[in-house]
Amino acid sequence: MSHRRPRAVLLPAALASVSALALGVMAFAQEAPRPRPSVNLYGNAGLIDMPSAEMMPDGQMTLSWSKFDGMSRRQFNFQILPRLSGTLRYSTIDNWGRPDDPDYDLWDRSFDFRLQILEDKPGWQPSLALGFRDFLGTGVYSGEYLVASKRVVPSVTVTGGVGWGRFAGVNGFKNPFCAISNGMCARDEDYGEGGKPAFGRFFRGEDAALFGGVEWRTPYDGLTLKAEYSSDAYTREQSGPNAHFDRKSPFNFGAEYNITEGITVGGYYMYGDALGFNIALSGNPNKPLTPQDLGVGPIPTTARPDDAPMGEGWQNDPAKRTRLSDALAKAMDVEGIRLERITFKGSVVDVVIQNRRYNQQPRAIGRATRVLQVGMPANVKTFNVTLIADGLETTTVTIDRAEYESQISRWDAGQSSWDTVGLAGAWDDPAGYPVWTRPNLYPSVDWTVLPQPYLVLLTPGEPIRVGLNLDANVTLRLSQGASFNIGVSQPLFGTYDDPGDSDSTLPHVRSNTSRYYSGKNPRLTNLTGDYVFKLNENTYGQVSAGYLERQFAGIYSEVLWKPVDQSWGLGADLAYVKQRQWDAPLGLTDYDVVTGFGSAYWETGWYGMQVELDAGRYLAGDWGGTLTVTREFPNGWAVGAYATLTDVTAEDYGEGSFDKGVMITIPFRWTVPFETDARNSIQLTSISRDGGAQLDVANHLWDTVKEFDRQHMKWNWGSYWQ
Amino acid sequence: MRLTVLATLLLTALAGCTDEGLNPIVSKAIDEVNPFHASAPKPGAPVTRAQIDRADVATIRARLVSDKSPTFLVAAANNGGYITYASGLRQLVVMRNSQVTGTRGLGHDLLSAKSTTPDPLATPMPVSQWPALVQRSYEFPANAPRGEIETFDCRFERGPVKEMVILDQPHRGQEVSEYCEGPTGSFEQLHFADLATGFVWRTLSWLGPRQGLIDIEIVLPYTGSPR
Repeated sequence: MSHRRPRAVLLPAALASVSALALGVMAFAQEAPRPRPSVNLYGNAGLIDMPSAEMMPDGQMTLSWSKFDGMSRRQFNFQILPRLSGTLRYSTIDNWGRPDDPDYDLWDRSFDFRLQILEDKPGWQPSLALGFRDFLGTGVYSGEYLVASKRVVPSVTVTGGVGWGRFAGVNGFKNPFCAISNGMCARDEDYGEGGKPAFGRFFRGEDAALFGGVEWRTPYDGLTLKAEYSSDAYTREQSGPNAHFDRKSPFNFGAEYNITEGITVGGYYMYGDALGFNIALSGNPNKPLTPQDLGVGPIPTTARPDDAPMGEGWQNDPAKRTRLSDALAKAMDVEGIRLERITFKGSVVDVVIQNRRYNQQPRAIGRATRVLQVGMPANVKTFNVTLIADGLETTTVTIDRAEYESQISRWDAGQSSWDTVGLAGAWDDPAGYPVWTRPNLYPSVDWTVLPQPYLVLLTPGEPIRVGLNLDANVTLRLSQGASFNIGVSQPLFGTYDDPGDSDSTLPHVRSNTSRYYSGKNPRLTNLTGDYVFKLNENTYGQVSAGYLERQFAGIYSEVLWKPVDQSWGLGADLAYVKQRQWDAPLGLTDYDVVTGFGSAYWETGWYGMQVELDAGRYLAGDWGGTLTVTREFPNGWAVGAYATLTDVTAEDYGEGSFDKGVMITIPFRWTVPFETDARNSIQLTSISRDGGAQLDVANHLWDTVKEFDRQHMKWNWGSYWQ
Repeated sequence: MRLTVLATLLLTALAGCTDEGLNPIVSKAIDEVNPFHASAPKPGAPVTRAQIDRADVATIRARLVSDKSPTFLVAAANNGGYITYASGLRQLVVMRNSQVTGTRGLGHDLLSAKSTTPDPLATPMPVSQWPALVQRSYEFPANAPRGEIETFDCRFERGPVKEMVILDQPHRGQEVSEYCEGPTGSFEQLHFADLATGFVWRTLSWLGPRQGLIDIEIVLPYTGSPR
């Protein structure tokens, strides 16, 4: 047999059909995973109208819509932590009635929290949860409960609980907390504008009551049957002059069918009077819609031969350097990486790259390293790979070539490589070394066209808005730091007419948001000249001028200090802006304001939780602070909630009392089976009021820089060899 | 045609468009379904043993059990005896002799794998000398530098002696079943080992709970020394 060595140049693709496999096919046998809890008509894990103590898988998100009689609820549930979940809800109750308006239909926002105290374990221990329903809204559904659930056999779960407030509507008993204080027997029912935690009503009221039920996952795949005893009296829903709901029984019955993974529909017979339904769409950041990765593998690499020439003479030959650099650039282009600059420093080369394809930065670093390993002459012992994002040189990853070679294809190479690479803030110092710069790098034009779905809940006057825009963005980059950016958005569906001027008593800085997005015409979202720069290896800056966002134009400046190895950073921004006219692409109104903030950012390292605190002057001229808590997932998913308190009074602010909302960012890579770095942000809730409103500037420095820090790199370093 | 356009539009819409263009695999998939694609490949003649011998490059033929047809992969890199085989679409399979220690571009990556010594897949030995037990560990992608590691205890069970033809070349060997059990589940592998040397010419190897099994035939073994 001849002595065969591998060769670097691959044979052309050779696909051939062969006879069927003679060997048998065997499958991986695994214990069946515990089924995901079902969703009740309030969007929580639960029975039908009552909750259970079960928790969804960590990170699970569920959008659901339920309806029976004249009551309709749309809700978003998020499993914030393994034992903590939250639900945002927008409900409509027909024929609610008011003295001055018998036909009044109630539109109501509410917010729930559930905390699991005990987990269901084999033996006798049930799961036990403490829940707060509508603890932040106007209190229509306000109630607290302590509930236990037990999976008595694999297909049957039994639930029982005790509740206060709304859960103590029928067949109650004296509230045991009344024994502690008489004050616990009175429940505050004056909710004002809503939006504030109602500590004055937790576990209070004259009565508490029991509820419970059973859930059976039938042998028929996907079919679940439920029965429950509800302690909710639905008193107010029956008292309106035109109400026709008549609660005849405390018992509810239902059947749910899981159509496919993530989609469940249910039909119910409610309170002996009405038929109801529920549809729930569910997904999990940790479980991509298309888990497969159909992208090509990395280029195979091997260690330098022992007898490889180690001369450095080529570095002194500009023609050789250029030929080599051009070839490396072409090879990286194929990998979706733009090689922008190489600095030759003897046995060290500094390369500056831009990741243009991969959702995870370490994958881009790994692919670039492979190209360098194949192409760089043997005397080069160290690769310094610097990543550019939006014109900023962010982090430099130092790779020892010999270490790298010892890790290729080996067991546990991810950890070994992480242990041997160095990370530092990028700071270019060519110091007279030869530099290759990509030819014709600037001016350059980058563009993207992305479908941009949006879902807005909790907007005053409109409970839910779903739509799709087609967003086009073009960047004309004049140099690494200087660029012009233009964004245009074309509504595709979900369009609506101008709702008219806001009645807010504050400057209408956000309460007219709907006007800015009404109609079917394309909109100029931004048109700016931007300059980004670094002051030192840990400090970033930017200045932007022009039409900064859909509603404001002006000049914006920002600075951020964020060392790569540090879990926190500090920033400051200052802007002078004028409000844009909603119906003229380039027109401006008379309203202008100086706005600015000091910001502190902290990556807690705990379940991907990030905290941001901003304090300063808002668009309406009000002073205050915003707290944002975001859970970020390694694959780019992020779910964040924010709350802003300013010197604007709750009365001036209007419904909701203060600004708060939820944002979700979804990486496209989660939905498609190949690499893309595109991401989409969905605004789930935003009460567009004027108090506590901030500029919505693209490319905040923190958002640009954070995914290049040590924590994010470590999260995704497993992809370095992928 | 409508379907083609629809598929193209759908994929484009899903991915979004950029100046980077489409992912090469998506482009290839679109080309595959596009009857008007100019360079659409026509079904070629089957690869022959003579062609392989002429090329004189270590070659394997691999097929995921979920796929219809196998793909030839040729040795492209050697890192201390870990040979990386690559297909024209740059799907990679890393092997230490007949032990699969990694895959890339097949759908769900196997980051790395190791086994206790002696492992007859990694170090050929007559079947009669195969150990009673081998412990195998697999590393799958996770949100950390170190992947998620699953370990299994595997025992061999000898089967019948038979003849098997791999790309026109007959081999006489013994079937050996391998039963692996671990805390997360169990799986089976199947090997066809040379009667004389124990070298495994064909193996049905497990790549993980998501990827399943891959059928690998060693068409032309790598015979260079480890570097």
